[in-house]
Amino acid sequence: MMPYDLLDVFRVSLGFLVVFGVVPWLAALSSPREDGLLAHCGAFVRASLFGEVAALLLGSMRLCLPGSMAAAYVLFLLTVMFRSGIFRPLRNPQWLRAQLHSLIVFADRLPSAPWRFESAGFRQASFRRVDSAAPASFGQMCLFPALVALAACFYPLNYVRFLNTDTYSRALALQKLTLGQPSALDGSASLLASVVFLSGCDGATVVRFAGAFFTALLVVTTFLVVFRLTASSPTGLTAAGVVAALAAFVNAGQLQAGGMSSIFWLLSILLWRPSRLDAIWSMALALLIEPIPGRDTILYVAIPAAIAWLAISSRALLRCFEAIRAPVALAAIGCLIVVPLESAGHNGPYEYETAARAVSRIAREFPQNTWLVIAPVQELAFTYGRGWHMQLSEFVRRYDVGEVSQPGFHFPFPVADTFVFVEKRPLVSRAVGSGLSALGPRFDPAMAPYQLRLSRVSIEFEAASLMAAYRSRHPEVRVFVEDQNLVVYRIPS
Amino acid sequence: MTRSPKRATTLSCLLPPADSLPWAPPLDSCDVVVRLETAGITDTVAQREYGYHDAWGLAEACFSWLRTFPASDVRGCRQSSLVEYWKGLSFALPLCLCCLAMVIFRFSLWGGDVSPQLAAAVGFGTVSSFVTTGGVVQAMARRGLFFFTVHDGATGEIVCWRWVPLGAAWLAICGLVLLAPCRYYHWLPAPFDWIALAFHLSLGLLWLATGILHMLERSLWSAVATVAGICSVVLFHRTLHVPLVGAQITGIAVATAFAFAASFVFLRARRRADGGRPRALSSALDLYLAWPYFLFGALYFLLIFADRLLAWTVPDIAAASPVQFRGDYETVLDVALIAFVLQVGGVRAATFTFFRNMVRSQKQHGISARAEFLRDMKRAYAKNATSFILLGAAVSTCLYLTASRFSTVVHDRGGTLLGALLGGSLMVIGLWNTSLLFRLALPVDVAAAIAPAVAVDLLIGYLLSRLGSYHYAVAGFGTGAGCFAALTTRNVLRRLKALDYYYLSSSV
Amino acid sequence: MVHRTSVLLTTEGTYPCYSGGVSVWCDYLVRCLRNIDYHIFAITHAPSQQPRFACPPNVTSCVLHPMWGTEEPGTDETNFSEVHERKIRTDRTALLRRFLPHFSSTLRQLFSSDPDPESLAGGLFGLHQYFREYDYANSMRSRAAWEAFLETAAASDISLNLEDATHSMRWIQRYLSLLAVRFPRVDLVHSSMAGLAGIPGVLCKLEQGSGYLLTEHGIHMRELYLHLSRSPYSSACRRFLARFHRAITSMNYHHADVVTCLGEFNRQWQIHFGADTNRIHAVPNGVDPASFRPRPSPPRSRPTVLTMARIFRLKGIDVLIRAAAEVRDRVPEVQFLVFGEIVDQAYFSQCLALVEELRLGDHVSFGVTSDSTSAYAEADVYCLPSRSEGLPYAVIEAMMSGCPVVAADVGNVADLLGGTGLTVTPNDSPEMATALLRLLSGPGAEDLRRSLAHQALERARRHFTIHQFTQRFEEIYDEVAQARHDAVLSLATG
Repeated sequence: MMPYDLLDVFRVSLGFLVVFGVVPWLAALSSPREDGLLAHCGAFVRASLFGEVAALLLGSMRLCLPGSMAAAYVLFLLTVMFRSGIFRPLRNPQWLRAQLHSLIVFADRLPSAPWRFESAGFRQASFRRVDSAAPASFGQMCLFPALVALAACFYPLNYVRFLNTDTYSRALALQKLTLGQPSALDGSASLLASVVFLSGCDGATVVRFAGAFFTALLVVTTFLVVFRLTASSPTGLTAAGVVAALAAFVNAGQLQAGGMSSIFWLLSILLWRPSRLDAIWSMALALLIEPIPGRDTILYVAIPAAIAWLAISSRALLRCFEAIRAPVALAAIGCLIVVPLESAGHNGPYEYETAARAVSRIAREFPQNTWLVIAPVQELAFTYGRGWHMQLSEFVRRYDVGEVSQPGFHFPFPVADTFVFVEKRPLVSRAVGSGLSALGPRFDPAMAPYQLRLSRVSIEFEAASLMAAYRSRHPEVRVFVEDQNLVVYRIPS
Repeated sequence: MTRSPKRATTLSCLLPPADSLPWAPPLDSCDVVVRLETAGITDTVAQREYGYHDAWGLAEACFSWLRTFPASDVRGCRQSSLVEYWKGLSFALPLCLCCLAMVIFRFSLWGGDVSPQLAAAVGFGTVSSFVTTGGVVQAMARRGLFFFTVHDGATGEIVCWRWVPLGAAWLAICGLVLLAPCRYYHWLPAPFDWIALAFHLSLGLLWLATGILHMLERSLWSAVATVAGICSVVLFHRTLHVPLVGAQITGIAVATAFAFAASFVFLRARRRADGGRPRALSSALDLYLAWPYFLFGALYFLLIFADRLLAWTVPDIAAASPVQFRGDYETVLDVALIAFVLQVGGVRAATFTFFRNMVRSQKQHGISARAEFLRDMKRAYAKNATSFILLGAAVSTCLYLTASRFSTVVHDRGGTLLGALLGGSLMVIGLWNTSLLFRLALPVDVAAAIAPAVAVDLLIGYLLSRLGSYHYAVAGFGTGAGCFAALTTRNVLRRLKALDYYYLSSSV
Repeated sequence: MVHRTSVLLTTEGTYPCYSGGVSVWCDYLVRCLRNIDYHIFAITHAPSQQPRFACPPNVTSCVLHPMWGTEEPGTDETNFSEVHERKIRTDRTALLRRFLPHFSSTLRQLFSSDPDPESLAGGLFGLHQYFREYDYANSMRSRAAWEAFLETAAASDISLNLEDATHSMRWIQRYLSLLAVRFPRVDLVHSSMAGLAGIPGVLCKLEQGSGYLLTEHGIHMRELYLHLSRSPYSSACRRFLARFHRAITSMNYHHADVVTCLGEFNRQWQIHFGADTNRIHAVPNGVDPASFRPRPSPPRSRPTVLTMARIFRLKGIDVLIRAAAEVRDRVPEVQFLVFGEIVDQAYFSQCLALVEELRLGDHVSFGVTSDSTSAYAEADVYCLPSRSEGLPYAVIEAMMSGCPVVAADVGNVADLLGGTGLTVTPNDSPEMATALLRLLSGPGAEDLRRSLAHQALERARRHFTIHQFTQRFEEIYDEVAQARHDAVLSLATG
């Protein structure tokens, strides 16, 4: 863990807090609802749906940019506040004059006599607070998601690389979206667009830490749904713990689209009775994130449902949940810390940690768009929009040893620095998978050459040969980073 | 020996004097009595020398023929519209000197032949200094000009020295507020963000100082200050080999110090000339009177520069930083600025002429002919507006043809130049309307017009620059200026329906 | 506890911010009548005017009301939050229902050639009551007010064009701004002129039942006519101003319980403008005999003629300069000293040019003196060349200092001198020169000077001391206050 990792997690946290905390809170303030907690849930759904739809629509026009998203959110908040009637006093000129009068009195530094409005029609907006009739253990419940988030942050704080193939594609899609570049519509990426803008981080960094926050959100939502169904907080906590452990095993703590959409499926269950419309919005958002619910979604929704059914059907099981809630919670936290580390090993399966660290360091230390990284496709997710990237397969295809070893030959790249990533021990990657995922938005054909072991070894071998031949003629080429698995060469222009 | 009484018509003391002082025929016989007594014609003299019972009788006799004399023709100060035009242009003199320095030395008081990142930093700092201090200068001018108009130079001086520290504090706060996201979001890489802050602060202070000089109608001295600054830059950079940025910051500081010193001298002279002691100032009254001017000042510069900001911040996958200076775009806009400057001098001249004609028309129309007067003034306004349109078209056409011929950059960006020229001409019309509305003490009308114009500028400029290329940002400026011109014209036409009333309510 | 009489002393363009005879009179009054509690209400030209006279302890408050130079007329800029509260309250309903009726009524009287003082006072009082709650500037600057003005102007016989109407309405806005002032509760209002400074007297009388004493030094309407004769305004504007001030003046005369004047000359004018003969009392000015007394004159080589006057046209300095040229021809070593503050810079420049033209540079000098009591001792003759005067203090001071006087026969000067000085026709430089030469050269000049000085001194000590005039005013205060008290009591008892 480096100091800038802490800075990154702080930035991303801030972005999440504003987009998924402050904006829904502001929307909830304007909502005249009986139950404060459900009002906040409904507002959360509406705000998230708005962010998702805005990003998708603007992205389709290549306008998903900081200015337009900011304008969209401002418009959203103004509309919500307008509908709640907060702006009604503005229609009363006496009210405006009274506000100016207050300013004038303040400027005069005089204690003003109480000013009574002479004309009617001025209504104070009432600000609702969180319902005090929330579950007694809700305060305790806030602790568990916080611990889950911390635990789920353990891996991304210490490791830069992703553990899921989809995550690389999501990071790349998010980066393209937020730079106003053409990209395939991806609901799981669009939801994070606002976080990218607010945090000031790139897409890869946001995706890196998003898993932890979404896992925490999933845990909270699970608890709320199970509690609402069973009126039993131990049951809710047990279900939340099981889901957290599931996230650790299934997604290594880095929630994919299924996990993200599960949050909103569960919210739709929660809001079905009190607000049918909000429940429908929640379902719509879940479908936008994952149009065809997959295995993860089914698991994350079915397990809490099953636990709730069990608790309702048998009082004995209810008592059992009371006993096991604490161990389950603790176990879940432990799983979130340990499982990603164990499943990943020290490297791979898609990228060496050294490679991920190297490309992050290059992006941080070197001026933007003045360098070129020649590496497999996984590094593109960290490079896009910050520098230039060339596929290693393309590099070895374009040049051969004979050409490179000619005296006076220079790589014709119009950048200040070129970095070539050569794996000493080519990675063993899992295959792409079934044809179903090949149709998904996150399938990247560029991954194909690197997925089969033999082809990857061949590419890396050729790359190593090219670099050896070039170095023999160009002593200015230095080793930028090297360990037992990987070497990164730096070629100055 | 008796002496026959003199004729009343021989009373030369009642006749218009030979000097050029004002003289008016008497209002009534009472007036004549007063004049007679002042001339030494008491009851005794009236009886003795003119044969009347008393001065009142003599006055009655004199009144009948004296009232036929015309009043002396008091000619007011004859001011030429051309003089007003040159005065209106005088604000642009420092700008012209900077352009000249750029041509000669390849650098000026700010800006020059520098790297794109440095240019972006300087540009960003310059724009932010204008937007930040624009409102303060307008508010200061509003209050200061009032006191100078009523010959209270002492209070006018206090007002200036009160607003300058406020403006400086506001400048510092805004600078820090802008620096924070700049560093957080890496809009400009270090140390360019600090360079932008330095230009923001130093130029902001310079605008505050020159604002005082413009208010005192000493625009020539702001040009002198600019020359002093440029000379300092040349000295430090060329002779002492100080890096250009450091030399420019120093040069701006020299110009600022000079301008403040000149302001101090002129304010003190004005105070001495008017005499009296300064009155107590009320912050509440400042707030009440100055807020629309503050709003206008800030939004005006935002309207002028928003398109540049939008062009510089167009996302570019190949850009070195989020804020990227666009040299070709700037070149075209600078060319269009020439046309703007040539036209904007007419604002002051047109306003002067309009109100002079209005007073003349008021003299010619009685109360019962109010409707004719208002119609006349509406026609005068329309005529002036037409003149502006024709002038704008003529100047823009000449400039477009000339610039396209001699500059390849301009030739290639003809569309951008056209957009900038059109926007500039519309802006001038908006400024003229603003001048009229300010003169009629209706600043809220102006503030209400400029806010939507800025919104339109930002919206159109943003959409087009993001969907097309950064050159299309000028369309935002054009539409924003058009919106401003349209809204202010609507407001002026509305107020022209009761011009006599608004003219009265604006007078002090 | 003995009740002390409280008096609101109102001034315009004089005490305590300007110098001059009326200011000196006010200062004497407030200092000598120490058992009277004074509230000063001074109408000034601009807010930059500051008091020149230190107020004694019996002056309870001193309010300066600038007529011009404020952002809005009638606005207390130092207490703007209260003003703003009234602004918010001033809506269209208040304007139409409560403001316009009084304003229209007032305008009709101001435009009328024969105004009714009662109606005018009623209109002004109604406006004064209205401005307790509502904002002056918003009301007077409203479109409704302008329309009402135009309507009234169109109905009058003054043919105002639109420019004249604008000027006239602006004057009304400024002049009537004192209607927005809240006056203290006093026993008596003492106004130092019959113009705008008299309005508080009428308002306090109607509102509180205070007594109203009006003192005139120069006749307000006379001075207005003189000012208008040399003004650049159009004929219609001048007519309007004359009617405006005439209406105010006649209202003041009508409502004043007592009107004092300086002499018979002024009295005739007051009667002409509508003052009730039975209410007019002559109370001449006075000076302090302890301060102004004959002093040993320092040795001087040149015959000296002294004039103490502010420099503006009515003081006739140009007449004095022409007379000086003639005197110089006969008495080459004569010197003329003119001590006084420059009020009209343009006129002063003309005087300097005249001095230059007549080559009097070594004979005529201008300046100011801080020791006016000693200045008379340094002069052989005091000369008053004014074109218009009331009862000039400078002449009384010269008489009291034992300095012989040559004066233009204006105002009450002849009554003042009573034959103890030489009077000449106003504006007549040769006659003035002749009179001066009688006292400066030729046989018997010194004897004549001594004789006239002695007679003048005797006369001044007998009639024109400060104690006499302040005592007289104290008696008048008591009379007026008592009369009002009795009137209120009789009303109360039915």
